[in-house]
Amino acid sequence: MITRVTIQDSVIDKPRDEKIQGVEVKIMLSPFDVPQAAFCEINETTNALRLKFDYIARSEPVYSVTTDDALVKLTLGKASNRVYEIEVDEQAYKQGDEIQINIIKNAEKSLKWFAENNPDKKSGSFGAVKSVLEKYGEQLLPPAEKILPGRQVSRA
Amino acid sequence: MGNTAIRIKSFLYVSGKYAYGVMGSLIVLLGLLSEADFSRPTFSNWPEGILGIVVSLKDYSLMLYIIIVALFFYSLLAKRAGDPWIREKIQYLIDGVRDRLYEDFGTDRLDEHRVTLFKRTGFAWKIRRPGSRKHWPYGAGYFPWSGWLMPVLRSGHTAQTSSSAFLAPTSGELSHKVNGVVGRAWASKNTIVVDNLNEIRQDSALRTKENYARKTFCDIDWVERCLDQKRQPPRSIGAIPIEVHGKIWGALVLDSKAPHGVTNEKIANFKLTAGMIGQLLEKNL
Repeated sequence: MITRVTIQDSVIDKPRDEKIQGVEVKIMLSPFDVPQAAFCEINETTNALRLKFDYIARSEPVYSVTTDDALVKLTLGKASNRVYEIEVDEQAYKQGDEIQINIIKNAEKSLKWFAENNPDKKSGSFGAVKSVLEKYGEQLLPPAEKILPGRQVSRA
Repeated sequence: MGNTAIRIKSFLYVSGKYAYGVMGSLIVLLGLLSEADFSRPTFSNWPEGILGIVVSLKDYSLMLYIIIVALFFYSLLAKRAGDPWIREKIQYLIDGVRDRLYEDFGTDRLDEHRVTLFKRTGFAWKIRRPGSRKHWPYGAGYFPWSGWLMPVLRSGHTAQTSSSAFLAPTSGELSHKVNGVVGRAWASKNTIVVDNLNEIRQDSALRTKENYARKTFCDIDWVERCLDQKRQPPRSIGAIPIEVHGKIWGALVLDSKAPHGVTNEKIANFKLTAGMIGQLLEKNL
């Protein structure tokens, strides 16, 4: 099962005022760092949930890193460190009733974990993906009953 | 970049394609010649003139090998010149951005509201260190190999021969020297807009010029040079980073003589075009 949402650039990438060397400038993300669409896919055998992000251009090799607790796997661009995929293990979200919130929390936690451990590899897409999860999470993630069929859970 | 340079690059690219064909044919020919035994009866029926040419070719096979190697290097060089078709398409996109972005300034000169594609290059000759003399434009941190953002394509047909080069070093120690709004966008990989800048004229006070230079991350020399060339420094500038294969390649710069000619609202409409330019560049420019 795959769900897809189209992302509006203006929702994710709001211009912000910043000071660079005392000069006021307006800053927005690079267009290459803002996902154009996001997909959610559930592996029916393992119940692992995979969130995929599509960008304007994807023509670079990727690498994967797994969080210390082995519950979330991030797939990042080798050259840009852009976030292409976040795979959340069933163990990370099945506890409790708020399955969708658990998924988003774990995905965000993994991005924070990676950025803290690899400050030189953090890309603009980290913030953009976080915004996508916050603003489009509800549309992107299927209802909790479909994520864990047969289990009675309340919707987040 | 001037039209002559574009024509030379187009010729290089097209001739480079033919060089591959010639190279392949020569390799096949040499392979056949090396195996050929001209004393065999098969060759006795061949016209003497043709047989003479074939035998001579075998005798000069070393020369042919040298030609093949030369053609190989020529085709490599030609490939670096970039595909003229891609250049045309990017020029079309850049002109399109210019026409839509500045449609309110229809009667102004094309070079007063511009869109320029800058490429970051590791080596550049046409550079200028602030405060340097014309015949020796180099100095500490300002060498041809320091890393520069150079204009490669510009909207319209006027002011195509710009020599504006902005310092863009990768070295951590020199990173604070990154020059211009384009340099800031390249270094931070963010889209940056600076608008509502003061109008600068030749007779503007030095303090006003210095303030302008500070706000645009340039040096006062650059401002003076613009004025000397009878160009009014832009009053609004925006730069969108361009990536190729996930790596920062350069930036698309939009600048206007109008204080709100380039704003973040306007620039947001052209981010997708910047992405398309990046995709085209993946095919080589």
